[in-house]
Amino acid sequence: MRTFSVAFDIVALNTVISDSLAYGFMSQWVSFAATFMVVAFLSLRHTIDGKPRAIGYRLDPDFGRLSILPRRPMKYQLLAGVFAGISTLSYYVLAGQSDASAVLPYGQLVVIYLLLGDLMADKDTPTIIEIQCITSILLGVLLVGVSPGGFDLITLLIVLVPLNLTSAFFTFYQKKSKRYEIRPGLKVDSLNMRLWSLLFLNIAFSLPAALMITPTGWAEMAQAFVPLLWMMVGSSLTAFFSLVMYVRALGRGSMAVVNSLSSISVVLGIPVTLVGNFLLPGGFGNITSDTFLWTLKIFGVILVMIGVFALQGSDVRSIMLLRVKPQTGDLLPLLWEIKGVESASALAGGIDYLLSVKSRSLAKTRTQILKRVQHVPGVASIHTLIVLREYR
Amino acid sequence: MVGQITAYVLMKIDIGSTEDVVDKLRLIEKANKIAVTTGEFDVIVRLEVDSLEELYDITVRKIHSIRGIKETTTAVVEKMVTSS
Repeated sequence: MRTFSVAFDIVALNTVISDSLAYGFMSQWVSFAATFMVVAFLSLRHTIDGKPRAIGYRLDPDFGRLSILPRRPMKYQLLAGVFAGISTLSYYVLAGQSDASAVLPYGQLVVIYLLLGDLMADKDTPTIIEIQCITSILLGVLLVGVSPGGFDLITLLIVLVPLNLTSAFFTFYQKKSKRYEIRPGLKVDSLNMRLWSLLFLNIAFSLPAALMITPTGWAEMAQAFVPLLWMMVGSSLTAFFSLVMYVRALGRGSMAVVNSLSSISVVLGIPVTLVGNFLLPGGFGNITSDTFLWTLKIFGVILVMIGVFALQGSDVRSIMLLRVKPQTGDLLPLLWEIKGVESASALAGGIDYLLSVKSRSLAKTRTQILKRVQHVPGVASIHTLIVLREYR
Repeated sequence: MVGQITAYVLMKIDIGSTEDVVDKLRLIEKANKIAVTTGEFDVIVRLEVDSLEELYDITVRKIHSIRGIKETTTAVVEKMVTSS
C-alpha cells in the first residue's frame, strides 16, 4: 500500500504538476477530507457478533466512533503531527527530485533512529546484530541514493536529519498514544489517531509550505486540482489503511521491528519504477539507463532489506511465570510498565502472573526485563521459559 | 472480545513427543497461541473460549486425550493487560 501511495505521488509530480510542495499541500488536505469521511463512515453502526458496533470495529476493536481523544493522547497526537509535518515537508522536497525506487528506501533510515532511541532509553550497549543492522541499512540507503554524478549531499542531509529523525519521534508518540488506556481494557483507537495526527501534520506542514510555494505553484495547484483529485483520493485511502494497520502493529511490537516489517515496500520500489516508466514513459521520473548505477541501487535495497529482516529475526521471546508473597496487592500495573512486557496476565491457581516478554537477545531479557521484574515488591519466585518456537 | 475467557494450559511433555503434541494442539481451533519453551514447562497454549464449559470441553476432551502430554496446569486469566 505504501509503495502505491508513493507511486501515486511520483506519477502526479511527473505528469500533471511540477511543484512538489504545491502538490503536497493539495494532496495532504484532500487526504484529510478523505480520512474524515472514511472515519465518519466507519462510525456507522451495524450488528457484529450480535452487538451493535461501529463498522470500524472490524479494523480496530478499540474504535467506537469519530471522537476527540482524551487530553494526554491528544497531546501525543499533536507532537506526533508536528514531527510528521516536518518529515512530510522533507518527503515532498525529495519526491520532487527522486524516483519511487529511491524515496522508499530513504524512509527506512528511521529504523536506525528508533533502534538508537531504544538503546539510549535503556542505557544499553548495542548487540552485534544491532550494529550489523545499523551498518547494513545505512550503507544500503547511501547506495540507493547514488546518482550519475556521485552522492547528492543535500539529499542525503535531508534524508538523514529532517525526513527520518522527525519520523522516529512521530513513531515514538504514536506508540505512546496507542498504549494509553482510556479505561481498563480500552485503548486509544488507531482510526481516530490517524485522523487527529493528520490534522496536526497538515497544519505543521502547511505553514512552512505555504511560504515556500511560488505564485506559479499556486496557479498550478488551481489547474491541477480536478485532474488529480481521484489520484489524490486513491493515494489517501491507501495511506490511511496502511497507517491504521501500522499503528495497530505499533501497539503490539517494538518500534524498530514494526518499522522493519513495513520495509517490504522497499523491494517493490524498483519494479514499480521500471515497469511504471515502461507503461507511462516519464511518469516515474528521469530514469537513468546506466546499468551499473541500477546494480548499485539494487545492492543498496538488498542491504536495507538484510538489515531490517535481521533485526526482526533476532527477537527472543520468553514467558515468565510469577508467584507472589501472601498479602501482595495487584502487581499488574507495575509489571505492565516494564519495557519489553508485551502482555501481563493475572491468573487463578498456583501461578499468580504470566508475562509474555520480547527482547533482542537473551542477555537483554536478563538485564533489561528479568532484573526489573525481580525488583517488583512482592514477587516471590520467577520461572523464565524461553520460547523456542511459536505458533499462532 | 467481551465475555471471552482466556486461559493458559502449561504442559509437561514426554521426551520425543513435542512435535506430535504440537501438531495435535494446532488442530484445536480455540488455541490461538502455542509456544514450545525451555524450562519448567515444555509447551504453553493460550486458549480463548466463550465459557468455562467450553474450556472444560477443550482441556478434558481434547488436550488430555493427546498422547505424549505428561502433565497439565490450567490457569484461567482473571485480568490481562496487552498491547494487542
